[in-house]
Amino acid sequence: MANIDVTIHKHDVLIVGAGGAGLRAALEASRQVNTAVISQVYPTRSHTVSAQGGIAASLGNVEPDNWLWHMFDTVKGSDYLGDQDAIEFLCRTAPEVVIELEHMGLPFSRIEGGTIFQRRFGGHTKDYGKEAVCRACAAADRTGHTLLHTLFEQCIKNGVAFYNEFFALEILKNEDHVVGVLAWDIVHGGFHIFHSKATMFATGGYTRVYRTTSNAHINTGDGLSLTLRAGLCVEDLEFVQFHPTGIYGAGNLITEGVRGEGGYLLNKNGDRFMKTYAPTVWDLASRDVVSRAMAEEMRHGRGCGEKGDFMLLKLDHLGADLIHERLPGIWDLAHVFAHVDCTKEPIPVTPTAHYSMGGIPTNRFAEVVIGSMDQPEQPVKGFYAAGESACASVHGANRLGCNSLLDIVVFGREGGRKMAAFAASLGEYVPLPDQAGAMGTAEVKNLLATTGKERMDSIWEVLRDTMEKNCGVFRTEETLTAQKQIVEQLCRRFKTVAIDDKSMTYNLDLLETLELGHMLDFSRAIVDGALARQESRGGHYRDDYPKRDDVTWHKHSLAYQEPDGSIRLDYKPVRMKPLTVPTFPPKERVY
Amino acid sequence: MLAKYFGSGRSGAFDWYFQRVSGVGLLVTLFLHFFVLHYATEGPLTYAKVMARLSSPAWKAIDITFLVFAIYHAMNGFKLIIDDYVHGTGLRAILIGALWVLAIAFLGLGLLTIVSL
Amino acid sequence: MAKSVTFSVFRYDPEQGRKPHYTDYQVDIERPGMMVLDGLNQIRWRQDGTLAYRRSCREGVCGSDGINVNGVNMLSCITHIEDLKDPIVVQPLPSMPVIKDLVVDLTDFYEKFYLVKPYLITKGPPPSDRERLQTPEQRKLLDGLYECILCACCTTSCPSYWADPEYLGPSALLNAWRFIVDSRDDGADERLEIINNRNGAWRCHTILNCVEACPKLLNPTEAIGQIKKTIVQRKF
Repeated sequence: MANIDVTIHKHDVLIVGAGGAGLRAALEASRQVNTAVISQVYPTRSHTVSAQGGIAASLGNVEPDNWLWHMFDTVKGSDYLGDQDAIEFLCRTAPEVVIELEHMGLPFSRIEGGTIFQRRFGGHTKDYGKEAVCRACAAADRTGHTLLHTLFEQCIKNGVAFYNEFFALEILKNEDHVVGVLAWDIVHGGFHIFHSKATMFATGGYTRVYRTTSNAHINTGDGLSLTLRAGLCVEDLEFVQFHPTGIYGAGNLITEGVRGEGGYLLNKNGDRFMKTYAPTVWDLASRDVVSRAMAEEMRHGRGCGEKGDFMLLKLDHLGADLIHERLPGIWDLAHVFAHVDCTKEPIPVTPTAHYSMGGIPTNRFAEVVIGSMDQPEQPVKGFYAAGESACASVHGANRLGCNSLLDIVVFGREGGRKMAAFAASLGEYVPLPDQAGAMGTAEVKNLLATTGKERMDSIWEVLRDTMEKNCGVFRTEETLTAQKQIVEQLCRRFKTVAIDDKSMTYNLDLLETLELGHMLDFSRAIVDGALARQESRGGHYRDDYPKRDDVTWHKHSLAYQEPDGSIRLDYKPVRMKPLTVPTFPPKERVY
Repeated sequence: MLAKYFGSGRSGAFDWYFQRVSGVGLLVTLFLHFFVLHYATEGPLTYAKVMARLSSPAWKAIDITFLVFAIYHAMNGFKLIIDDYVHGTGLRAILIGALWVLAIAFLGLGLLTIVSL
Repeated sequence: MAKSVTFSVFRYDPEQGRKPHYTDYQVDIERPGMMVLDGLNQIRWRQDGTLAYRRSCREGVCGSDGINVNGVNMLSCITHIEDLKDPIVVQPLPSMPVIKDLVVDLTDFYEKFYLVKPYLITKGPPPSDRERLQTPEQRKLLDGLYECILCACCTTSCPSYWADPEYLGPSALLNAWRFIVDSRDDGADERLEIINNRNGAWRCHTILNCVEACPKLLNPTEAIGQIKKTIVQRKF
């Protein structure tokens, strides 16, 4: 087998992932210590760029608002599974970080008077749920694009070091201390060991395991798989958010902001069916509520089209001017992907796998933690996580719209600060372990050498279709058990997978196959977690256990990977005590 | 750094501007030329009439303006093409030097001719 | 609707030592609305796994997948196959060094972007407790500029850039203008100094290829025109 070079790099702080969380952390850390970012793609290609609707903060520019209401909305939105100390931190810090972003140059849309434009959004209310409130700070419907580009521009200004198109293969640990990462140079081939004092994973979400998804090709949960393989755990993977309005047939997202501006959903009979499911806020209910409402309607034969498998999102009544000014991006998307001029006709929409609430468990300082029901949480030395790949947990069982852009910036910043402080306080580098990166290098060399009959796509096809069918919006014991078997079988098939491309230069075949291996790793955790959790909460809905069960199930799921690849489940309590305000106790969740 | 041609100290701002000014100027003088030559002379064209016009101070002024505009516009145009396609400093020096020589030669010759009419 | 189309794809593997060549693939039209990217994926997953290209969001917002199809630059993920003439000739973006197949080295493109200082430059400190104010009219000036996704379709379609890669290119100039017109920015002088250069704004000959190529329907030529006007107005 050909010898492949291994190059070693040393940086005090290493950040894996250059989306909103990674870049915000890099900005913060690079001000104090030597920082490097490695990214699978050029930073502005990260999936943060596609976020549309806005970033939530109780600025109160359009109408009075209060961070306590935001905190309540987030706790309730999480179906009471969110950790309330982290949520308080999130909501209290929100106005500060949004204003900071504007100071960096983010071109927010404005209102008369010159302040930042805010729109209504699903689940965000005033006075603890009385009615919808304008809290989402937006830049037309391209908030994610402007956020990512602004952060990247600041990184250019501050000379942050980037290693673009590098793919992380393995976490390097010296006993219980994380000392860096092994990565593959996508463009030229070759292994690179990044030796650091503090490492952050900001690797994004994982809903590419589903057929219908709003996610990019790169959202394959690689950071989660690497964490599992390093003997650490991941949290709450069964909680996947299905966004109500993905374009039918394509999966691309139509922002909730459309409903925030006044658009609404119709069934086959032209009824605004959401008034039955969410009597107070109708179409502006939380996403899981709306998705399930749509799925219910379709189950009862009120879906549109020949197969009755989509609903209609009507917005032409808002007027062409408003649509072109505030929602130009979705006009484009509807036109290109649905062949619809939404200033005249409604858009066909269907629930689409959109966001992963679960991820690498952290505390409110973005430090990765290990804990269980009887063991208090302990930080893992040198390891941090932020963004969609982390689980602080501020989103619990379901995320409110516009809270993700907020989450990434708040915890990215916090993680960056903490890492810089940690790196500065650590005198010497903790040395690399013997045989550092042996697992990762063997994995790649093996794929580059073997021949076999299985190909990546034939396995992935089955995975996505079955995950959607059996572990999607509605789940039962039967479907989940079947899915467990299917994933086991796919893992067996994956052992004989082979790639066509054996070259070192830009080997996309190798990359996608490695990503499939990652997806299979944590798909087991999603299914096992969903099967074990016999209740319905937020994005996890069991037809056979339709109620929320706070007595038995008010806890976070944890998943560990055993040496044979199977999953061992554990649990840990929800952090119910906020930092300074009283707890919001679990209540029945109605909108 | 965008420094390749910094040394010359000329950014190209005036060149761009005057190319347009001379372009419009050429259009005006062309129109004038056409109109005057074909329509402004009474009766049959004779040597005396043409010489009278050519040697008049007003027409000399127009002719000199036309000469300056035409030489500037043409030479600047050639220079732009050289800027686009010739990157080696040696060759550029030779070609642009040649342009300058041509420009001065034509300007000198033209001025002499017009003034001595 | 045709059952299948032919993709004639540019192939080049630096490790193979072969010269660049074209390989024909049959792509089945499985559903209406298939994009060029769907075709490329189908080729890679079912026929020839060695094909390399960039892609991510597949909805035309990340700018990864700029390629040249039938002679015109576009994003592969938002170009409908049914709008194109068969056989569909797929090539990498023109004038950039090819790494492999459809993947090009965009280092020069990014360098030009960094050169124009594409970040907010301010002289005084920001207000301590609120956002900087900007009226909706001032904000409107940024429309058509801030949406640039750095896909390189415009710069690699520009004949001036092909002739001389020292030229900044439409994208860098458009992004410079985005900051110059931002009412919160104080760096106009600095940036104009940089682009008031033979290789900056003055290299644009108003060819307009960039306007045709931009997948976000932006107008770099207009932005460059505004830059030229601003420089001249300040001088004279």
